[in-house]
Amino acid sequence: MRRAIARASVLALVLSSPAIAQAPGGAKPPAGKPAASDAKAPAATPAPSQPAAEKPSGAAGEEPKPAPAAEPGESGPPPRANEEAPAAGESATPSGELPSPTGTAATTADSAASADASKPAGGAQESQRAESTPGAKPTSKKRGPAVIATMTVDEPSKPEEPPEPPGLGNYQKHFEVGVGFRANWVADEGYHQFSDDPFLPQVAVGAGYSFFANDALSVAARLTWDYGGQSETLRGVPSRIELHRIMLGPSLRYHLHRKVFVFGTVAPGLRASQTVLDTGGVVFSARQFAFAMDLTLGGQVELIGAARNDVAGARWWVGVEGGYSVGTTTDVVLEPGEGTPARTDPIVLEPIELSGGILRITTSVTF
Amino acid sequence: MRNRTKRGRVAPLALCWAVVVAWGCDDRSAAYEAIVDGDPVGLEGSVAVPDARSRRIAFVTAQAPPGSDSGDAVLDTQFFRTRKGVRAPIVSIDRQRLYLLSEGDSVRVSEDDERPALTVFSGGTEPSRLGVIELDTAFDSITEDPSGNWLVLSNPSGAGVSNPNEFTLVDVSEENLERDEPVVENVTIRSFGSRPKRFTFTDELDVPGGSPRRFLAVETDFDLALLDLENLERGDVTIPLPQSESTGRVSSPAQVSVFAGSSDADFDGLLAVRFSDSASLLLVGFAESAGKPFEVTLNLVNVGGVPTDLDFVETDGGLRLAALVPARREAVLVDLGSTVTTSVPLPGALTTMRVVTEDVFSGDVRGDVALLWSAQAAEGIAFWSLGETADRAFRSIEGSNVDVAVRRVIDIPGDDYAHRKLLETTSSEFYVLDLQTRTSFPMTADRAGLELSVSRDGRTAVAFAQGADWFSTIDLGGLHAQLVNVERPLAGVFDIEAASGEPAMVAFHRNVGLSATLFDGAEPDSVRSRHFAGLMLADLPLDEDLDDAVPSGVREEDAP
Repeated sequence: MRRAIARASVLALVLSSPAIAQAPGGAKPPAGKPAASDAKAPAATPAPSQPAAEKPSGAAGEEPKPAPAAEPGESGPPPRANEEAPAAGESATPSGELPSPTGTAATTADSAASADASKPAGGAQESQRAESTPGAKPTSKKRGPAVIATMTVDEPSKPEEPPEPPGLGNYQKHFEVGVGFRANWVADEGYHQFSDDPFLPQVAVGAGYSFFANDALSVAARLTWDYGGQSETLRGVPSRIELHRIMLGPSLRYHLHRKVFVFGTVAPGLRASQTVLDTGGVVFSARQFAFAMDLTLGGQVELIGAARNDVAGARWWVGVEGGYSVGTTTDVVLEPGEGTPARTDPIVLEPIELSGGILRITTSVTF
Repeated sequence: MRNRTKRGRVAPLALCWAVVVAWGCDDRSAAYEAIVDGDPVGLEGSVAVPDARSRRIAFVTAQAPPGSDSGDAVLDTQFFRTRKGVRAPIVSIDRQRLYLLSEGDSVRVSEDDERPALTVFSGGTEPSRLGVIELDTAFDSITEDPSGNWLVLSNPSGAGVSNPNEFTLVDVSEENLERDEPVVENVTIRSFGSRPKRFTFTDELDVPGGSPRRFLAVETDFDLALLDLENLERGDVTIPLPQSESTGRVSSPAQVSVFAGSSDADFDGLLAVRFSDSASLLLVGFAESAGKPFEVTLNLVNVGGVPTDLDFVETDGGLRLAALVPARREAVLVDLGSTVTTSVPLPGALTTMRVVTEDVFSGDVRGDVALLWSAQAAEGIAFWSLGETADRAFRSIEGSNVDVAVRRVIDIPGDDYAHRKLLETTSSEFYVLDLQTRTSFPMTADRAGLELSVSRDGRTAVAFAQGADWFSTIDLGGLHAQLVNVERPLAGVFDIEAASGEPAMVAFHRNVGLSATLFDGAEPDSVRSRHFAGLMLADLPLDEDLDDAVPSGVREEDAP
């Protein structure tokens, strides 16, 4: 930036010299009278500006001035030579008598500075060349102040990328939503009234937020909803079970790597199940509500995501966890449903308790 | 080195989890897979449902009938564990008991392995297991002593060598069942190459020179053995049978009829034997014998054709042996003293007879009355008035216009309607027969194969067909038929005594699983019924290995 300022100073000096500070078309403004005083000097056409937000906020160095907003139609018609004055303002001296050999517009130091400021951070700064070769056609259709000399602005060196903030950043503190598959292995004989094997498959949907972090450790709150079911025949009678499980609990995480962490979760919650017996068109059903709690250990790996820990954006993770789920025992008293013969008594089955090992495989997105 | 340490940490955790999961991976209990395929059988105060595949038997009882003020209209189910390889249950004649034979473990290699056994249950309103009698041999058949004191277990089965002439006599009195080691008598009858076919318990027979005694008559292929139940150690008396006139071979016995003897009769105890291939009847009497309790006397009587039924009857001329010879369309009366026969023409080829005197008359009568019918063909029914045989025997049989093949004649218990009989047929109708007025009331239905039963108080008959969604009750007084709708296909209808002492009716349904509907036994009405589903789903033996629970001879694919 300092070099840019220096170059702008040089340019100002050049423009202020009598040899080049000449209005096009032989206009001779009164000596000593600033050209800007009676001439309608258009504002210097700004270079297309980049949004200031794209510049790293934490970049070192002075804060660049934001370029004025430049609408495509705002540049207006090219100024005529006899009424235009360099927009350089104070830098453009009226003392220049030399007619401009060409009508090529020249940038002013301010506009150059504005152009500089509008460059994206770290990007190559566009060199600007104003040719004053006699007879040469102007390179731009825009007409501007007369250019009487060719000026080359050197390519500036890339600005250094701001350093990453310390810590794991949003690798660690983030919101999380995910879906997955949960499998229970249930040994309970009551459950086996509705399933041939101990496997209870479920769809798992979850959300979480890690609200505390310290070094590699963090704590997240996780809310999960599991839904699944099984069906079988009980002594020849079709039977089925469906269940919902909503769990909310803390998850303690430890990052082995910024893209890998392991965790342990204690998730108490509510289990709601519906058990059904179809005794030949007459359906008996019952709902059970029970306390349930998952105790799991697992790990999660980031597959896709920005490298920096301070870049906002989504990260895609996959995870696996296993553990044990405990729950209270519930009675199964199946009441007759619609279409049942009147005066039908309920069916009492073995109580169910859906405790057992669990395995959950999830894919999640953090942001 | 670091990786190895991590693996060292993770491996135990994974192992623990695997152990937890494996611990949870129990197989489903076989009891959940077992189909209920036993047919319900009615007892006095309960209905028994064998559940052999779950190695148990259920007794369904009613607390009170619907609408009763004395209790809840609830069906209770009580389960008893049964042994391995049970046979079909046998209900005692008085419907108070249930007998269940089991084969036990086919291979016994330890003391824990089950032996063959006979299990006796009480079938009242509070069912209980009265006793288990372990046996040396597995049997397939039970014959009950009408007096309820003895059972004959016969037709040995199982692996290895079996002796078909061996049977077991079991004292099933309560005293014996309560013993630690109940009395069991293994008996092998004398054989000349034959084997037992049928067992008949006699009443107490008057035996000359001795006290009355009961016998067990054992019909084999070609001889008859008599076993003195008062003195089993004496062994059997084997009676050789005559040769058949038609085949020239030894006749095969088909029926034994017993006359107990009485103080006012001229005869002591008598047995009569008919044969399946001979026109002769064998009369077996008893005589005094020196050094022996008795000796047997034999007499042969030819009735002109192969008889299909026989019985001792009282006629106006005295005690006679009556036999039906349908091939000749004759009934034959045999004078037991002279063995002179008297033929009486039959209105048809009637094959079966039953003495119904006590159901028709009370007090002293001059002679018996017998009901005659045919089980094979629509030959009608007839009444045989045996008090008119002395000089008008040919007019003693009165035919009826009922031309049906009678599958079964059902007695009406109690005193009110004992003079009526139900004639179950193979067609879509049945008859209520009044023996006093000699009238017969047809009852028709929209389907064949009706099964009939009578309530314990003898006031109501029940008719139903397997799989129907209705049954009918017939008031045996006014003969009013009442339709009762049920909402599931029927598998049986039983009249039982509720715990409250009131009559209850239980209809069983086999649709998907087994269920039952409880009715008021006095006035069955669908509106006041209660339905109980999932009867056999409770209290399952979840921890038992039921692999060998399926009874012998029943294949898995036979299950419904």
